[in-house]
Amino acid sequence: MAQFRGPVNLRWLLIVHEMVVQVTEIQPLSADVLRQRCDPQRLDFETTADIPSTDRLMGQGRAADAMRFALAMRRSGYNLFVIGERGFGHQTSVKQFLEYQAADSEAPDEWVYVNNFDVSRTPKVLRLPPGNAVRFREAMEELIDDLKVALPSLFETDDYRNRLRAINDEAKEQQDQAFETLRTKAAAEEIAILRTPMGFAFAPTKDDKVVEPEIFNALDKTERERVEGVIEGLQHELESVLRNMPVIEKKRRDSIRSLNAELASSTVSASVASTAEQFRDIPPVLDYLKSAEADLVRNAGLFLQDGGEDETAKLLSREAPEARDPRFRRYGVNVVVANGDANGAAVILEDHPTLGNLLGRIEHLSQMGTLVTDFMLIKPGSLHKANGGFIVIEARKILTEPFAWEALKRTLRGNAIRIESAAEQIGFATTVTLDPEPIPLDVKVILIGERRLYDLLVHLDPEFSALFKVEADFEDRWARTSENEEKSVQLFSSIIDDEDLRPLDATGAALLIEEVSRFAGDAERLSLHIGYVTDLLREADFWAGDDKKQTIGSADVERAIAGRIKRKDRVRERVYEAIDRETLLIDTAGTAIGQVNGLAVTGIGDFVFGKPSRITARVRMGTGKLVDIEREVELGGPLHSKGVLILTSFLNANFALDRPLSLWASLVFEQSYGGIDGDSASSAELYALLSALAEVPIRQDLAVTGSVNQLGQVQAIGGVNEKIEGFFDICNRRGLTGDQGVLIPKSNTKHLMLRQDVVDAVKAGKFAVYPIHSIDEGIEILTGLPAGVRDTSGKYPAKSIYGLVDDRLREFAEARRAFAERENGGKDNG
Amino acid sequence: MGEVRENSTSEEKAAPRYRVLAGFGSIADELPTIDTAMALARALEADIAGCFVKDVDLLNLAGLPFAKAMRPADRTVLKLEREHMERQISRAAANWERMLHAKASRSSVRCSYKITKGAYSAEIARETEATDIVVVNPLNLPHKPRDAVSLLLREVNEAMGAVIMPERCEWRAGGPIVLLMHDTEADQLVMGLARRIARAVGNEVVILMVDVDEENHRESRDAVAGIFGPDADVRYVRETRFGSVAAELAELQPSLVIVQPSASSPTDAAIELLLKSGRAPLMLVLR
Repeated sequence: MAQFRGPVNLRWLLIVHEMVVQVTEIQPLSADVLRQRCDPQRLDFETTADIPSTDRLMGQGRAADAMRFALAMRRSGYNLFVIGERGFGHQTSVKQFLEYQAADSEAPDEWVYVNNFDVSRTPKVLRLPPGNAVRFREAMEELIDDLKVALPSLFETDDYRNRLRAINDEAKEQQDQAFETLRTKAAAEEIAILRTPMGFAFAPTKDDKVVEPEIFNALDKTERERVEGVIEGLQHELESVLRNMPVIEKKRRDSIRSLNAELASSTVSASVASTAEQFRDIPPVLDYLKSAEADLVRNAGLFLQDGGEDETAKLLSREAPEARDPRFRRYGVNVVVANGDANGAAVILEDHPTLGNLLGRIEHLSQMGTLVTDFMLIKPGSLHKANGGFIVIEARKILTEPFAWEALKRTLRGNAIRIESAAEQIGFATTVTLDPEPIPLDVKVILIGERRLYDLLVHLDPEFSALFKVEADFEDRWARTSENEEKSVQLFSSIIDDEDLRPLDATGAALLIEEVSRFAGDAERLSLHIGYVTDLLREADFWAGDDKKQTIGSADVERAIAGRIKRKDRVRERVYEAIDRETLLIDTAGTAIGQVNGLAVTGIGDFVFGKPSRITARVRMGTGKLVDIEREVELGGPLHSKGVLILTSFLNANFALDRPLSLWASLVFEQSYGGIDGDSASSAELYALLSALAEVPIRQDLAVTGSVNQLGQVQAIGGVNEKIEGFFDICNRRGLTGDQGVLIPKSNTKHLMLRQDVVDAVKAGKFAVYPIHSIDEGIEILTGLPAGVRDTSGKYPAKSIYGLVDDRLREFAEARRAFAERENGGKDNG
Repeated sequence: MGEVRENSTSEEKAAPRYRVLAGFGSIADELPTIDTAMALARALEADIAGCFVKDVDLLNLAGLPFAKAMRPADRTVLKLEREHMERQISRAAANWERMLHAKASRSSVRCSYKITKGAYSAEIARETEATDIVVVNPLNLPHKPRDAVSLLLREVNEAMGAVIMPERCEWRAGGPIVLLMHDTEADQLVMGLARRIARAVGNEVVILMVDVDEENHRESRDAVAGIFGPDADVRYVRETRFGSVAAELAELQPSLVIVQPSASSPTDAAIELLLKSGRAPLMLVLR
């Protein structure tokens, strides 16, 4: 392993022993600030079985207020958009909140579709008070069942049969009479009426047999013409007789219909009246029964045919409407929404918000190869079920379902549910379909989605803001106070209750609180990622069960955490292995000029880890250009480029006040083959650059993280715990020397929730974490030399890093001027 | 309703082997004829002899110079030509032959088919043998039903057969076999035939005694009991204009009505009414 990189700089060797005494010593952080403990004793309970459950909106005061407002506000457009990242359990929290609110509401009205006896294509919708829809359906089934018994027996009486026979006989008599008259008239002329495959024909006969053509042709002309004339006349009369046949038939059918209606009327009226009595307070039902009564009388004949409904079908029919006699479907009641058993308003979680699932659909049956439908095949959607209550939909899901989002907006705009078919919208459907009456909508829609989705909708969908006027912005973390720690335990208790897990003891709860704080990446905050907590509790419960324990303890929580990491850290292991084998070059000892250990975080899925990266800088005379190689090859993101540009500004402000910055420098993340973004390495890049300019080596047993501003202040970065742990792991695998450590921004100290093994190593003096406020402090630790402060004449001390940098840049400037004079006669073309 | 007993009687053992003669013409839909003939053939383990009659009256009509036919549906007048009529009739003959053979093959019934030319009832009568059950569609008879039936009966009577007329009706599985009797001397042959058919198809038998005095005709009761057992379903119907018989049949929904006609009995009027109503295939058993 390299102990010393770059050429030996004599100047540095000469001055180092004089300067080192001037360095302000920065003390590493003590172990107790590296991880904010939660003392199990302070929690003051044995297990969570003693702790009451709480709602899941803990720490979400703003969001809860927003939700309360949206639910109370009954005006149109006051639907709710819940902003929150995935995995935080917002869906469950919101549903729980809604169910609590809904329990106080009255059960909403019920809806049924019934046949429109005038225009069957547009089924009617009826609104019924809660608890009446199913009762109404059953009452109609009973009505039909009663009529199925009552009407046929009515039509089997001798009186009815005699009257029916009289009608049929009269029609038959009229038909026969007409034919008989014609037949008699023809017979008098020895002409017969014959039935042929083509129709009726007349033929001359002799002895009841048709005269043969040869004999007929042998007759004299006068006789032939006479016969033809007679037949011609008879054909005219036959035409008249046949013309009258449909009239007779129609009259017969009308008479039978009138007879049926007359007979059925009183029975139907009595039965319908009995049904109506049960619904006397529901005018829509009474109106429907009136039209049903007229239709029943009109179609009494339906009850006389054998519909093939056997006893089994009859017994099953209550449960399976399709098993009922299809002749009586027209009197069916399609219950779309029944709230008979509901306690309060409905809360529907629509997990698959397709167009059909939201608005319902009209199904079809195949009959003789044709798709047919009727009002009984109208299937409700989740909006029907949620009507009068609440529906929760994930924004991402509805936005990715074809037609669903537009349909939802149309529905909310119109305040009515109209069943739409996707196939119809794109012109695929050519089957007979229905146009059911729309159902008035009174529902509160709650969309749940990430902030990015919310922003996109606000900016790109002009209707969105008008339809979703209230946003509930969920927190992802809250302050880690003693009170909140206790409330967190209540949350754990709720999750344990909901998930039916073993109780958690105080040690387990304390460790879980620490883990939740670590998950938040902040010692002073607690994460509200309920999904993560739930998973940890489930897994800790599993391990507790594996050890035959009655409660979940800290060992189980620890095992759950370790287990999760173990399952996910294959890539991290490969990275560490590559560093161990020096495939990835990272030094953890010695010094080197223009080279520093930077720290990045990388992740696989939701697992992130720190990865040390070697950052190097090279300098020469130039025109003030700082080359970010990552950016040149388009591997660096904009934030990284910004960080590098800030370095230029820092150098200009500190070293090029009275002359041009005659520098060309390049910066690179060595062995970086993926993209890099963020400015957390900008301080490390500046250290490498200063080292290269001053030709002073940097300690390789230290790693650096932190962004820098133009003033040289080191600023907070994200992922500080993972970054420290990443360098610690590499050092630990090689053997801790006691000199190794990490420089972090001082403002990140409050975020430290380091792993226990790191804390232990610090406590044992084997590893150090330095809180750095400025570049001056950092460069002093890294090089052992003071940074240097300008004196009254504006010069840095010669024996300081900045002094050395200043000298080097002055050399570059002079060399540049000399070069320009040599090449262009004193004109610098830059 | 009386169950048909499983044990066979001496009368049944002595029952002749029947042949079902199915008459076809060029006018009527003959599917009911085929179905009825097929059901009977299966029930009686009989063969079917199909006979298509090319009605000479129709051919003569089409040969007349002024021959025209009027289509009832739209009253269009069509000119008739002999060649065209012959083609139509031949096509019908081939069609019913194909249908008969197809159904017979599926039912494993032996059948033959022949085509004759002449007057319909005369040709059918000519083909009839003593033990035939004749199935015909009266629509093929070119005159008014009563006359046609009488003519047919008169002609077939000479050959001693039974005639079935399945007008507008198909063999209705499940319904009872109704035996319509009016004579005080119950005919053993008719009852044996009814019992045999009923047993073969698994249907019940209902005996309608028309205008027979229940109290005074013990003889007929005994005869019925001898064939059908003491629990036979016998119903007595008072009938002057046959209305009651028709109502009874409407309720029973029979699969077959068996009648023994007689010139002096009210069942002759019943035959005509049944033919008109088409309520069930009608079997006329002749002696």
